[in-house]
Amino acid sequence: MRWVSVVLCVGACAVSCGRLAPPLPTVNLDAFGPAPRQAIAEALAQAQAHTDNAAAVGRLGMLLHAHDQFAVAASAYARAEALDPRRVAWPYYRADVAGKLGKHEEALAAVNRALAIDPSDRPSLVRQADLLWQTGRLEASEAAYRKLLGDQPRDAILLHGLGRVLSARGKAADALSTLESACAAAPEFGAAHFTLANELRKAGRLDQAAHHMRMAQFHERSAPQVNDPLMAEIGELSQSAARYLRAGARLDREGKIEEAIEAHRRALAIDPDSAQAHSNLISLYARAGKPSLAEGAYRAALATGSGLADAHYNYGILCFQSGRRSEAVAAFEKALTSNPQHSGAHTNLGFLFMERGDGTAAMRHFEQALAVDRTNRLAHFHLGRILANQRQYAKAIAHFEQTLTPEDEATPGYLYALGIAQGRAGDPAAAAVSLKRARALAGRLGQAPLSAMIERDLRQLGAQGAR
Amino acid sequence: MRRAAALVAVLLSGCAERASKTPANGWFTEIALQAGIEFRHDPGLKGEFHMPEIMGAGCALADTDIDGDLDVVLVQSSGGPHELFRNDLIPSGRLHFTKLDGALGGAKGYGMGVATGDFDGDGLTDLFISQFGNDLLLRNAGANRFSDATTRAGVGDARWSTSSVFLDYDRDGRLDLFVLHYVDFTYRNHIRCSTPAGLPDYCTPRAYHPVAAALYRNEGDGRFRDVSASAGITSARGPGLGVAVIDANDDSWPDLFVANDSMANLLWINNKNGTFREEGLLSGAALSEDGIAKAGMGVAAADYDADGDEDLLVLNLKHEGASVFRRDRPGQFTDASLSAGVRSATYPFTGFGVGWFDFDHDGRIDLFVANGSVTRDGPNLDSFRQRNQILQGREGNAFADVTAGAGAAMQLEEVSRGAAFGDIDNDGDIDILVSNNNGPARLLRNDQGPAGHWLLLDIQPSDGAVVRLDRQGAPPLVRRSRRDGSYLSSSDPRVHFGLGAATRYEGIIVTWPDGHQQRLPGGETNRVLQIKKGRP
Repeated sequence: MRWVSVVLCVGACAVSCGRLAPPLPTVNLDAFGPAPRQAIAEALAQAQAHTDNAAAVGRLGMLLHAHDQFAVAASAYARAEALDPRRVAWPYYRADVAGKLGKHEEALAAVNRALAIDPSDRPSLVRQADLLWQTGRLEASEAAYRKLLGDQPRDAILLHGLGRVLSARGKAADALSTLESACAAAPEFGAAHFTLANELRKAGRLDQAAHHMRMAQFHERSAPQVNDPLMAEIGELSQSAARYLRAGARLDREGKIEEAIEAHRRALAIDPDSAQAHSNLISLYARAGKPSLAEGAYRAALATGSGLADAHYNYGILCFQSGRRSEAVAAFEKALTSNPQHSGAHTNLGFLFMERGDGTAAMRHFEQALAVDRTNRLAHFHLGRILANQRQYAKAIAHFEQTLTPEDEATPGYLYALGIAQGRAGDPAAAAVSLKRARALAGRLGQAPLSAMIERDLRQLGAQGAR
Repeated sequence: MRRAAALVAVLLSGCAERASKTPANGWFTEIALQAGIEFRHDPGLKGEFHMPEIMGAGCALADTDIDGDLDVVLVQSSGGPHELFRNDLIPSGRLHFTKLDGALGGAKGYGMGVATGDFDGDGLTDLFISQFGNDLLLRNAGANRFSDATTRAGVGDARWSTSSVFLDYDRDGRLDLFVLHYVDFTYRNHIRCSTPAGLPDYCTPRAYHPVAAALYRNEGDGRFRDVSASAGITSARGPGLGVAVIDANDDSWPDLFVANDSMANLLWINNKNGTFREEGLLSGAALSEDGIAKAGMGVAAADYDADGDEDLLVLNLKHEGASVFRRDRPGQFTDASLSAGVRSATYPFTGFGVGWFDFDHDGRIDLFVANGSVTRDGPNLDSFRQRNQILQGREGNAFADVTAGAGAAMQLEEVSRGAAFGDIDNDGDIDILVSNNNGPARLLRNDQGPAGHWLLLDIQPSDGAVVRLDRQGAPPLVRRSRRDGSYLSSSDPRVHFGLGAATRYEGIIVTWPDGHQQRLPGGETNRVLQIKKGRP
């Protein structure tokens, strides 16, 4: 008897859920470019043919979601959830799109529904902790983060989340130690450095705050990889060239040249006229040791008639790397014709003129580079070198000093140049300080040949001092 | 003489039981056409998605003919002339504007923004028009006639300029000029970009290189000297869109806060020796609470939490939410966007023009936001349209979105960009001029009707004076006379206070830009009070 009633109930739900569910959203296919339009049209046709099929309706939502059409995606997910209330994905995706639309209360309610289906779903639990914070439920958020950290005490994202809540609750000491742990667990986690910097600032520890601010800026959009299979599925559905370009740029920054090339190729498969993709490929192919492909990318970039300055610039670097100095000069000059404020083109032209012994032209280009971008370290460095060779040590030192921040693998070389200039300017004490700093940093970074050169100069400096 | 007449003409308004009660027809009424302001911005759309087309242009409210009412300046792009509309309120008594053809000397170009200020000290408000192309300095020759003073002044930079502000950064008594630049886009280096959905679209500034701002020192003879490099301003750069003068560290010297689009905001601290140092990151006002550089556009600065110092508000891209940087101690800000309720309320919108002012006279600062997308959401350019917002200041330093009840004018969906704030009808409340991209200018008259009491201070010289108003039984209110902030726009420098049920105030202390203080006794509310430096 009980089985019969359960079966009857389920049968009734199957009939009524479709009727009670929100309608299928209206999708304007003209809102999409050719590549995503085709995929969405297919998903839409499927959803229209099977309006009571949660998977078909949900897939339409996912495709819309992947192309930033959050409001329509939310409608599709709402129907999918009503049709299949036992599947975590639909409320979970609803939480994501609601959050992106700024509806954080709605997002929290959705993620709570996801957790009602599967209380152990970790991505939902992490999202819930974040949304509790977003909606001002600080105590509950703290409790949620602490519970999650019980299982994964070294998870940088959770530590950062907890640190952020502790900071908002005024628990400064706890916040500091938690955020320090987050940074230690993921040294390239920009947001964690930033929140830690703010706590240090509030505590009056300004030097440490400044260090973490620099780290935050350097790793601005870098965060630990999150294991979120549902969101990964959304990412895979995107037919956006911009998405692949962004991915390509990230892979390039991470030094994954071949993967970056592949991402750019996928961008071009969607948008064959993407000047940015062609232009980036010039540089990527050159660095991958594929000069003929780089040449092809340059020609393709020029054919788009768009973004020419960067195309010429990247081609100039390719020519320079293959020893074609005159062609490099011509390419950088073309870059400047397209964009007279291209600081990089000025810098490279300056370098090429410096190589040719034309100090006047070189200085003019370095100065123009710095007029556009005072933070251009290479221009400061080379200008400093020219001035030092002209025995204008004070000016040279001023330029070298501008190269010292941010501190990275180039800094030991810049410090070395500064030390040499200070020595030649008759200030051995300052020179010794700079050279010792350069030596320490070079040692720390494993730059053995530079360390040896610095050591030699320090010895000479000591001998001169003794004399 | 005419100004004196204006002051006599000030009307006393009634008072209400509750200042924040919403009027039956909403707070604001759109009256641009009815008041004679017929102006349509033309971005010169070419179908190529050139970046300047989406940036819009600004507007200004300033009493250019010193007759006691606010006139209107609207910046045009696409080569059409920039326009001046004279307010005929005084002497006619009727709010109506007359377009003065040729008053700006036929000044044209691809206009972006406008700054107002008396750079030559003759008592008349001059105009600086920033452009995509050579900037313009227009000297007010009196009687609403302007002449082009750009060449002599040496401020006709050809780079892409955005918001600008006159300020006396070296406290020599002359107004200097600070001009933001955006990116190095030119038609020759245009890049094609597309939406995540694959449609052609405008690029983000990340597609180009940012350009450093310029600082021009007023030499006092109609000439300015570009001191950008020697003053340290070129040591950091970003795609600057919004600027506000504040005193971030309480040293009575003007500092500059710059909102950058997709790069860290900058805070230029005045070194009091003609140079600035950049302290954005360490101040806490450079990045969002997650350490991300948002797409900063318009800026507002005001003491929203009534603790006596100026806080900052930056509008950002949709799905970022606006940022409130609450000042906690000298030079130090905390991102309070979440607790202020501003982030959620603004999250679906891309904000540009912005003003922090007390529109309902309850003594708390409210917020107006001019919205309009920069990225396509659909096949038509109509998808850039968004509605503007009014957020009402509530207890606990929080804001509530009251747009729905703010009147039909606030339900319009347009691509709003500039916004200027001032009392256009001299009734004691703050009205709003909005410039729309590829659309008509809007004038939003504040129709709160009988509400709380108010005081409007006409301070001369105005720029940068800080006013503290003491109240009985309530904390003092602090406001700065400012024309800057918002986006590409310039506002009425008169200082406005909403005072709720108070019919009197206890006293006023004016701190002038040179650091001197002037005290005035208490008095009655609901009037315009003129304060001249050094005069009781």
